Amino acid sequence: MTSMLLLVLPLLGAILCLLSWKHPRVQALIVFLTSVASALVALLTALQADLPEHYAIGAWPLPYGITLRLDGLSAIVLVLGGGVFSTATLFHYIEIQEDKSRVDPVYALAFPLALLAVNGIFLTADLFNFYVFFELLAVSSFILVMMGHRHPLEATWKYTVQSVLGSTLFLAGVGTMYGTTGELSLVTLHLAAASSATAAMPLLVFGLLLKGAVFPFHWWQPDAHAAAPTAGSVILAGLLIKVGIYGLLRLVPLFQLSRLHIIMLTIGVGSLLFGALGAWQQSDAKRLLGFSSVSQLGYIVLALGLPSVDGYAAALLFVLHHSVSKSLLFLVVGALSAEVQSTALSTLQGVGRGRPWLHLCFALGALSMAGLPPVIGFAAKISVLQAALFHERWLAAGLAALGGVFTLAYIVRLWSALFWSPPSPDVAANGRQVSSPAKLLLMAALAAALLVGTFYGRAIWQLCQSAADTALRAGVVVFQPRLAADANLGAPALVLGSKESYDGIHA
Amino acid sequence: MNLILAVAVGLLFATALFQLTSRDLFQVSLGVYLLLNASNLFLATVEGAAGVAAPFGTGDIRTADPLVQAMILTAIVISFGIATFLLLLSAALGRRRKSMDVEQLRKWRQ
Repeated sequence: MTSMLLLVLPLLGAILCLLSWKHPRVQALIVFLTSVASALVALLTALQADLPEHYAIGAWPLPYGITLRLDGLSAIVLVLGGGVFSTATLFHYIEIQEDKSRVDPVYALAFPLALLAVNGIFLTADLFNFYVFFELLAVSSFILVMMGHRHPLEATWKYTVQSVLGSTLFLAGVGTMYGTTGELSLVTLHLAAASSATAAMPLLVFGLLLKGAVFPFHWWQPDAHAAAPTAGSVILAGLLIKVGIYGLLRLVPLFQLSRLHIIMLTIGVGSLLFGALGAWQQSDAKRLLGFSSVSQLGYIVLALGLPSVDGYAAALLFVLHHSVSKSLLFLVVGALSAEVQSTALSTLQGVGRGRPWLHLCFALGALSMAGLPPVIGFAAKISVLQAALFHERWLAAGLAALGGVFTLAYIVRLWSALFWSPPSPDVAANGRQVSSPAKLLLMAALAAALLVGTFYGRAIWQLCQSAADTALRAGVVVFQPRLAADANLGAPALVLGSKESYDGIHA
Repeated sequence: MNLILAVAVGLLFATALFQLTSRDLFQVSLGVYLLLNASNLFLATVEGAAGVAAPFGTGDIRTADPLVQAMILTAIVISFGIATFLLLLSAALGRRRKSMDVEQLRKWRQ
């Protein structure tokens, strides 16, 4: 039931947004409250014990109905999604309050729609619905990018074409999957697909990688990050590119193929090295952070090529850490660049001098991103390395360590440009402004989240491990695939057991 | 029947990819629309493969696989929306930049 609430809440927010079209402040407030409500519902659900929860919409049983499934992995990413959306929409609200400049109402509407799509993706137990929600997310994020200031139309155009290529591949993969196995439910696919659906595998995996902005397919992403308004960048970096990763977390265990693992390792290593080198070359702060996302996603894809609980848990921990730290860095850079009306590093020189609190927030995010102890980013990076060593992928582990050095290099470059170097003429002319306490408080909250993650690292790691276990284990909880005629149209019966017992039901 | 569909899907994909290599924003948008439709038609070819029988209308009536029909219908709506969005975006870009050349995208960025 709560899973349905997670879909209804954003939809309600979107409707209220439409009703308050002429009042941007009310809209911003509605959008923020929707995100917070969704985050709270997700958190309460995650804390209750009886997961996984299944919900059949309209009480239609499996082969016909649409089912939602909320398990340990969904719960974690749902809470993360709610958190990222609350942050971004609160930032949007603060900006609207401070700045009375005209803002398009469509921009505010895109937030609840994207939230609906993200919640739907994390909840759905059906490949085709995954595709539908994926497209909804894509369209709402086009709007988020398009409302930016820095050549947004060009960035959106590139993003749209790339996104369509990804979804075409994914849809073809869904079709192939249905053609070969006759199943689309992620729950039953665990049992049916592994051996027979190798034709669908490259289509689905490369479709998700195209959407996820990983190395050979990353070319839209830094532009989109640079073009989008700060709140949109937070959604893009914190959540949107992670959705492709979430799909991989769900799909890669279906195909236990060593070839696929080699592909993931190769793409991961390529992405983390190329992204880091690209970030080093950038002269624009937001583009630098965009390339940094390409690089950090490389670690996650690398970890997905290590098919064990530890490898998947490392990937999940990395997703959590990267969402929070990258959002924090985008907020700091966004707040600083708003003062000089530019994101170019040369203009931003020394803009953060003499601001201890902003500096502290940035330092926490940067340390976590660079993977230096004791912040949670260190734990995430070291767990990826450990998993790689455990699987005896020596080359991948070595190159990942090398990527860590590159990461440190470009982070220090950004850090010194923003906070250490002498002020540029623009900054000096602008004088020192006091950034708003509300924004500072928001950044402090994210920094505090990083600190909490650091102190409760072990507990979070255990959570990730149990979620990774859910993703990896095949066919533990299975819907009874009975026809509508002989099943009572109530909640579908749950069958606990292994593949054998499932076959028994069929016979 | 399946052969005709397979050839049609192949032709659509080929034409779409050819269009995507064009330098004109409008041509690329059309290529994207063709690509989306190619994948929709591809869905039609998986129809009737292994799967569960239709829930209603059993016995001697031969029915098409309803699940695939529903999927194609949904995918058509989505591809229509996205194609419209991309066409409008291309038009807005062309009007703002006074050119429809894809290569210009790179120059405008600087």
